[in-house]
Order: sequence, then structure tokens, then C-alpha cells
Amino acid sequence: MSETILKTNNLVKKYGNQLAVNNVNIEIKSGDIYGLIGKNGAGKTTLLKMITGLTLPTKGEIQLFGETSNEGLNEVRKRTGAIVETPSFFPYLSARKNLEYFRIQRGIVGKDVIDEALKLVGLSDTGKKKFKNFSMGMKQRLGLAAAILGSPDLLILDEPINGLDPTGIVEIRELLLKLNKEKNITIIISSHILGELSQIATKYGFLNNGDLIEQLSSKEIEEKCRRSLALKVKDAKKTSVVIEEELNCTDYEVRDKNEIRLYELIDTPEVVIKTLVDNNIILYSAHQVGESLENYFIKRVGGNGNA
Amino acid sequence: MLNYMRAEAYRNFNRMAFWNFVVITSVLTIVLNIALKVTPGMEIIGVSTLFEIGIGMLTMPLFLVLIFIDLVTAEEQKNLTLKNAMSFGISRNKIVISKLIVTAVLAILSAIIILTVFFGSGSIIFGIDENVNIDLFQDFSIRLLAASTLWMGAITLGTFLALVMNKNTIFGFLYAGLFLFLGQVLNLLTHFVWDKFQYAFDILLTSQLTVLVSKTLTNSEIRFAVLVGLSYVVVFSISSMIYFSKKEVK
Repeated sequence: MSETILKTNNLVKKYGNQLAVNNVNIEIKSGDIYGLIGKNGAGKTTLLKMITGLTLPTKGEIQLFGETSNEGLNEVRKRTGAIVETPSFFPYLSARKNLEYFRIQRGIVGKDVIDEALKLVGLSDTGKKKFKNFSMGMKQRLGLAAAILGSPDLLILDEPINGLDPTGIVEIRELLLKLNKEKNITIIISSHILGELSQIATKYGFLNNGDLIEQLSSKEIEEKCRRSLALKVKDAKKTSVVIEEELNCTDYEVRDKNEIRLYELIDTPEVVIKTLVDNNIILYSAHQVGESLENYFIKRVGGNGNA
Repeated sequence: MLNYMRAEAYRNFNRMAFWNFVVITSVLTIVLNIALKVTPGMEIIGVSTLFEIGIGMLTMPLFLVLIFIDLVTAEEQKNLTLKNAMSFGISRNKIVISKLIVTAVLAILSAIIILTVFFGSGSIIFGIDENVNIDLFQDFSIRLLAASTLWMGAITLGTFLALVMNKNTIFGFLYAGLFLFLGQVLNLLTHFVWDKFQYAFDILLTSQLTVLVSKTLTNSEIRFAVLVGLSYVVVFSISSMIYFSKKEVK
């Protein structure tokens, strides 16, 4: 059974009367890539700030690598690397010198780690260019380089692919997967780009208005977003009887009085259609569907396609 | 904490602004010495007079340390880089203490360089005169050491303000304004409102530095100046740690 890296117990953060995070309980095990999903203002960044110690919880407990006390948490945070909000560095220093600052600060021996980190994020050729002259994408990459410096056990990444072009997004995705697989680095990642998150996350937490409304594994998401045959009919009740008695199917869902989702016989729609028609069911349409993470998210929290 | 201080020293020594300040100030001291030499009517007997000039300028570092506080602390607020140290698990108290120590180190280092250039160039330009003796060194050293505690008090006060103010421009104006105007305000209050405001005036850093600059100086005045400086250090160090322990870091 894998070790619990991070656990929060009824974590609350209040700003005046506003509840930014409301009794959130998450659990992340070693080797997870945990995708934190939520709309703007849902509380994702606030939650990550509490985990990284940038803001103090109003109530509740954080357990990180088994530690819960303030001193203990500070000690184990040395095993983490984080990007929270926009990556911030010293504008008058180059990428190399900024990372050198962090290498000294973290007591990491050997300057090779800097070359390695810059190479991994594609910033080896920035030379003496100062941080203040970096593009948004370069800043994000440097943020990631600083986070992975010294091979932390846990990466906490707040929207790390903001500002990256499509190639950059693919590179970072592959880098994170590589770090997770080869070095068993656990990753918490919040992102607005749900499609991208769905390609790497092994576990998801859905935040809405400060509440953790659902927490599920990628396998569970797959089942919930699974493929089905969408049937638009005149009478769903009558259709469901035919489905059970003639098709011997029990795995279906009546969505409303005109729509049924059938989770069996998806690849043989002709059999389903013929059976329904032969039993005098008025069928308007039948097509295969698979729910995306975006649609599932919208269903759970409402709003537009972006988190 | 040691690693954090080393990192802070690294970034500040890689900062052109720091070296520009040291070099420009050092050059200005040479320019001053040359100006004193060539200006008719200026009675510079020798380098001993520079000690008197140096004592007269003991108030200036109060304003000069603003630069170091800005480099070490205020700019981090502006650049939002404090979060990097904190998310790595460096405790808030250690961050505050480290910043105070690094600011003091930068100030002391630049003071050593500037004073060396000032007296060194002065010795070359004016020569060592017969008034340079052990008593002169002792007097200057005592005043300098006593003033150092007041400058440290200014560093802790300034660091506290820099932690409270998110904008380093506002911090700069507030810091300078305090030292420029607070004394005068308290003076006016003493004369026109309540004479007990004199006590507050007496414990201002500027007031104590004015005492240290005076021609005659008693031991009790020196002791009191040191006590005031150390009190500022204690009060504002603790205040900084208390304030910063609760602050939400952006």
C-alpha cells in the first residue's frame, strides 16, 4: 500500500466573511498525479498556498509526509518544489543565477543540478538574458526548473502550463510524466486546461466555491465519462422496458423522458435500433457518445468549458 | 538559516545596484577630499580634520541604510519572491532574522570600504598631521560604535516597515519621512501641546545621533544612545517576527 504524502483534514480558509476553502479533505498517495480542478475563484490556489505555507489555515489540519506541526511541516517542505501563482524570480538575474540562488538556499551540493534542470525545461540557451526579459512561457519553464531542482519528492504546481505554446505544453506534460514514472515524484497540479490534465492525472479533485465536491481516480472518471449509446426516443419509459426484456440489458440510464443512455451493445447499434423499431419504439436518433472531462466537470460544477 | 543567508548574500553581491552605491559613494568621498583641498578658505590642517567631518556625518547612514533595506527586503515584496523561500520550508522567523543580518552585513561592508577610501584618500591628499593621536582614534571609534547601534536600530525599523508595506516606493517615502519630519513634529507638540512629548523626542534615533555628533560627549550620553539603539533592535525585530508570522505572502 503506497504511503500517504499529503492529507488535509477539514481544511478551512476564511477571508473576513468569505469562505475560500470549506472543510476540504484530500488525500494524495505516493506516485499520484493529482489534478485539482475548479473554476476561477474555486479555491485551488488558496488550497495550494495553505499546503505550501504561504497562508495559514483558519481551521483544520495539513499532514505532509506524516508531519502536522508547524516546525514539522517546515522541515518536510524541504522535500517539495512548488510553483504557486506566477513564478517569481529576481528580474536582474539570469536563469542560471536565479537557479544558483535557489541551489545555495536549499543547500544542494553540485552545480550540475542547474544544468540538468535547465536542460529538462528547455532553457539551456538563455545565457545572460535577465529574467525581466523572459517571455511568459520562459518564466513558467524557469518556475518548473526551480521546482524540480534537487529532485523533490512532491511537486506542487499551480497552473504550470499557462503561457506555454502547444509544443511547450507537450514537452512539460512529457517531463512531468517522466519525473513521475522514473523518479516516483508525486505531483499536485491545478490547471484550467482540463483536456491536458486528463492526459496525465491519476486522481482528480473537483473544487467549487471552496468545497471539494468530488474526489476520484482516473479509473473512476473513465467509468463515469464512459462511452454509451445515446438514444433519443418518443417514450423513454416504454423504451426502457424493451431494452430490458428484448435486449436483456440492465446497464442503462434514463436521462429524461426522451433520452436514454445505453452502456451495453455500444459497438452494435444496428442491433439496438432494429430491436427498438421492431417493438414499435419511435426512435429519433441513436449515436455513440463518450463524455469528456470538460463535460463531466461542467455537469458537476456548471459554467463554461474552462475551469 | 545559514544557507538562506548565503543565498541572500549571493544575490545582493550580484546586484549592480549595491556595487554602484559603494563605488559612487567612495568616489564622492574622494571628490569631497579634493574639493576641501582646493577650496580657498577651508582650513584643513590634516587628516585629523577628516575625523571631525566624519563625526559630523554620523547621521547620514540613517538614510543610506534605506538602500540596503530596499535591496534585501522591500524589493522581495515587489518581486513577490518571498514565497519561494517560504514554500521551501524556511521558517518565517528565520527569514526575518536572516534579512536583518544580511542587511547589516551589507551596510558594514560598504561602510568599511567607504571609510577606508575616505580616510585613505584623505591621508594621501592632506597627509598625517600631529593632531592624529590615540585619543582622536578612541573618540571617533566610540562615537562610531555607539552610532552603529543606532544604525542597526534604523535597519530593524526599516525592515519592519518594508515587511508591512507591500509597495517598496511607499516604504521608501515613509522611512525617509519618519527621520526627516518626526523629530520636528514632536518638537512642535512639545512646545505647543504637552511638554512630555520631549521624552518621545529624546528616544528618536535622529536625536541620539545629534547627541553623538556634539563636541563634548559624556559616558552616560553614550550609554543612553547605545541603549536606545539596542531597544529599537529588540522592539522592531520582535515586531517584524510577530507581524510576518501572520502575514499572507503573495
